[in-house]
Amino acid sequence: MNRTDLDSELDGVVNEYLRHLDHALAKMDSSRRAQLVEEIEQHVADLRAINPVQNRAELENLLDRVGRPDDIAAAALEDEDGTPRSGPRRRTIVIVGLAVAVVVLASLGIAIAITRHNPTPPRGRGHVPPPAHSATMPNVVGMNLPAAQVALQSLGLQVGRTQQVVSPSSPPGIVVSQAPAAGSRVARGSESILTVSSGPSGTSVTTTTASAAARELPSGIYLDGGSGTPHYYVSLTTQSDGTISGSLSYLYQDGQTSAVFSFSGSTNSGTATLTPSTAGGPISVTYSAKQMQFGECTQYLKFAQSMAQCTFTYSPGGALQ
Amino acid sequence: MAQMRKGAIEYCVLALLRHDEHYGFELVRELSAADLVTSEGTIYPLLSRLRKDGLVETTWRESTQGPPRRYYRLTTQGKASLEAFIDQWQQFSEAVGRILVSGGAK
Repeated sequence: MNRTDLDSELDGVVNEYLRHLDHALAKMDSSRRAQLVEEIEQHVADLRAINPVQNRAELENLLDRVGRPDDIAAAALEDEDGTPRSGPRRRTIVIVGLAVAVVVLASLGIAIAITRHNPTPPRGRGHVPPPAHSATMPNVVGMNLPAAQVALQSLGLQVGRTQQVVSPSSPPGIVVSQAPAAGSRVARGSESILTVSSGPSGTSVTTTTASAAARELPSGIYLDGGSGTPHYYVSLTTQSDGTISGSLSYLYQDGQTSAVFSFSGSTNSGTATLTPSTAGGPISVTYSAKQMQFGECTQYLKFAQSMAQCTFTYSPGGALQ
Repeated sequence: MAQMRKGAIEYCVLALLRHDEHYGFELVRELSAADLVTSEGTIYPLLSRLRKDGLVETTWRESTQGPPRRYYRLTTQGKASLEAFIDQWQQFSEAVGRILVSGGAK
C-alpha cells in the first residue's frame, strides 16, 4: 500500500468516525452540534500532528482515546439540559430514556418497513436536503464496493444486487461494470446492479436473481446493537449454489444507512464464512432462520456498544424482535 | 467516584481558564495529564454547555502553530461560579480529610 492509499484510507476512517458522531448527536441543537463535531475533528487532527499514525490500527487506538461517538453523544445529551444532577433529574433521565427507546423502536420499525416494502430508500431529516425525484447515476466503476454503495446511497439510490466476475485486470472487490450506466437519469430509490471483480483467478459465480435464489437465509437481518446508536443492518443474498453476498450497514435512528463493508462467502448448513471487502480476515457466522451470529465482530463493528453477542435477529414480519 | 469526578471537572475547566485563554485541545491535554478524563472527546460537550450557560465565551484567534483556534475564556459569571466552588470545595475537602484521617476521633 503506498502512502497516498494509506492516507486516504486513514482519512476515510476519521470521516466515518465524524459522520457517526454527527449522527449520534442528532438530538442536539444544530449549531452547537456542528461546532462540537468541528472541535472533535480539530482535536483528532491535533493528536495526529503530535503523534503521527503509521497504520489503521494506530489510528483506531487514537480514536479510542478520543472516545466512542456514542459516549461523546451521551455526554452531550446528558449535559444538554444543564440541570443539577440530583432529585428530579433521575426521573428526567428515565423519561428521556424511555422516549429515546420509543423513538428508536419507531424509527427502526419505519426504516424496516421502508426497506422491506417500499422502493424509496430511507432518508434523513434535518440537515440532509430533501430528495428530488430523480438523480443522475454516478460512475462507480473502479470504486470498491463499499465506496460505490456510499456514493449511490448519498444520491438516494440503492445497490439492488451485486454479482462477481473474474477479471484479469481488476483487483478483487472493485466494481467493473454497472447498470444503469453512468449519466443516466434514474428514479430515486431505484436499484442498480453492480458487477464486482473477484480478482484475476477463481471461479466465476453464476448469479441468479435475488428473489428466485434466496433460501435458508433471509434477505434482511437486523442487529440489535443494544442501547447504542446506530443499529446495524445486514442485507444479503443467498445464491442457489450456496454462496452468499451482502453488505453490513449502520442503520441510524433517522433511517439513513451507511455501508460499513460488503462481504461474500459460502454457507454450509448453519454456518457461513464471510470475507469482508475492506478489512480483516474471514468472519465465521452461525445462522438459523431467526438469527445470525457473527464471531469476533467487534473488530469490524467498532462503534457498537454491546457487541459481545454479535447477533443479528431476523424478523419475518418486519418488526424488530 | 465517577459522579464526583464529573461534578468537579467543570470547575477544573473553569480553573484552567482562570488566568489564561486556552483552546479546547490544550484544556483536554491538561485534564488528561492530570488523569481527570478517560475519553478526551467528552470534554467538548462540557465546553459547549459551559458556553451555552454563559460561564465561558469563545473567540477565534490565530494560534502560534496550525490553523486558527477557538479560544475559551472565563466570563464574569464563570469567574464568580469558580470562586464560589473553590470556597465550598475547600471547606468540603477539609471536613472529609479530617474524618478520613482521624476516623472521626476528636
